[in-house]
Amino acid sequence: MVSIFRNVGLDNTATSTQTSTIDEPTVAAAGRQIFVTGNWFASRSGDSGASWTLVDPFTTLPSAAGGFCCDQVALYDPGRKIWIWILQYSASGGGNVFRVAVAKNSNGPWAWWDFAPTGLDTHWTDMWFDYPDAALSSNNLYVTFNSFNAAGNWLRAFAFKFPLAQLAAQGNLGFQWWTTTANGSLRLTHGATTDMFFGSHNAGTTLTVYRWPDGGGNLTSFAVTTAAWTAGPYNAAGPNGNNWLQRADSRITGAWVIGRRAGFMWMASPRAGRPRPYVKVAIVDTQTHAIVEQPDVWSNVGTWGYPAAAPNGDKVGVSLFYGTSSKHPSHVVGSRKNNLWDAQISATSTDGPPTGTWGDYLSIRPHPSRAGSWAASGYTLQGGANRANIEPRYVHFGP
Amino acid sequence: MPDEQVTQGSAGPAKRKPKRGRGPNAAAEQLTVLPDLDERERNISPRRKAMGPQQPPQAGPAALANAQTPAPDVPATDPK
Repeated sequence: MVSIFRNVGLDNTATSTQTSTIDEPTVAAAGRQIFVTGNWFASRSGDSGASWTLVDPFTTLPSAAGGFCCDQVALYDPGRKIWIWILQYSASGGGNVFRVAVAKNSNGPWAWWDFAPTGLDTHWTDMWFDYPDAALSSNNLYVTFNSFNAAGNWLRAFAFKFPLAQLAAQGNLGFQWWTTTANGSLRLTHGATTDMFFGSHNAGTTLTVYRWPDGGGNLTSFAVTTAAWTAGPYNAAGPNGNNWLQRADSRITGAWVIGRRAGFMWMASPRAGRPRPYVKVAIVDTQTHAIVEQPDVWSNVGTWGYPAAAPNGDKVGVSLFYGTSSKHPSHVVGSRKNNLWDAQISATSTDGPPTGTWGDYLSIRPHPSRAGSWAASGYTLQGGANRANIEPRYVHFGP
Repeated sequence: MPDEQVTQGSAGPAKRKPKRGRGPNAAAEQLTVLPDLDERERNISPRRKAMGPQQPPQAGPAALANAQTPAPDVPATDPK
């Protein structure tokens, strides 16, 4: 049974009701400090979640491009003891920026760098970044984005590599970047050390795994073929008939690496042996390039969705949603023990999203202050179906 | 697959918010007009933006006929 040490809903004071049914919460934690981001708020606690203070992403830092937009990611690097806050800004004049902000305390002060498509290639004037992911290796912060034009067409995906030592020094920042039109929604593995791995689907059941050496050099990649799965339709109607997977697709949302094994998770639709939408899992040997396990997270009665994953020691922890025809979407934390997925609900929604808007991502990190434990972010609807009824959640748990 | 070349970039020095009351630049902090979040929520599409060029397997007779059950195949414990 999963052990939950701390399970805290962020109230209206914590978020100033700047919440959305597509809340996309992420969390960073160290000691008694916690930093949670989501649409469209950030909040910090200095007492393990007993009290919270809004850190307004619209006003805490100066505006950029068309103003603060939406997507954020929070991380803590225990090696350099720095807090990392990634913010996406709205497009203006065809382009936007994303910001990498760093602080030695979750209360700031923050130092930051902005990145625009035209800063990479002056021809990319009709391009804006969207859908960030971020993860740490031994010595670098990796960030990925999709990019779109003003018409909303997908253009290309990006991966960035920022030296953690330079981020911590808050001086001049050199970085590396790479882009592709062959893959999108690149999902970085948590737990990386000397190589960062990230994954993305190709046609059919082909999965491409990229390796970016932490010490330098170019990327390499290899392809693996998973067992059969299908991408939609996703139907997860709750008690009121609202389908909280209406917005779902099959992009990889959870990834981790333990030793030479990298795992990838995404949402798949029902098929033979899988009566409900479920989380497809593929674990790849990064040396032999073989798929070694496919321990799907599935149920005969419930639907699983929007998985996030992170390792801690030799175990992988997950943060995701679960619901049934009689249970509104619930936030769940869990881990894999003895080849079985063990999970526990942290909170159950009182309502379902009336317009089917839910997701798009959650987060989970190893908690640096308690060996073998994780800090996870989630959310539910409490007391209504309005965006202001969204209650983001911080959960500290162990296997 | 061949190596994929990376590109070097420089972001320059970090920016910092000017401290209040420390000279003329302190008054130059940009004011932010907060957006109408209810309107933003109403304008959210029920569909996600494209995830990339991928063409994942679509549900259909052919895909389902090829479905295999990988071993071990144990369902997750439904959470309490």
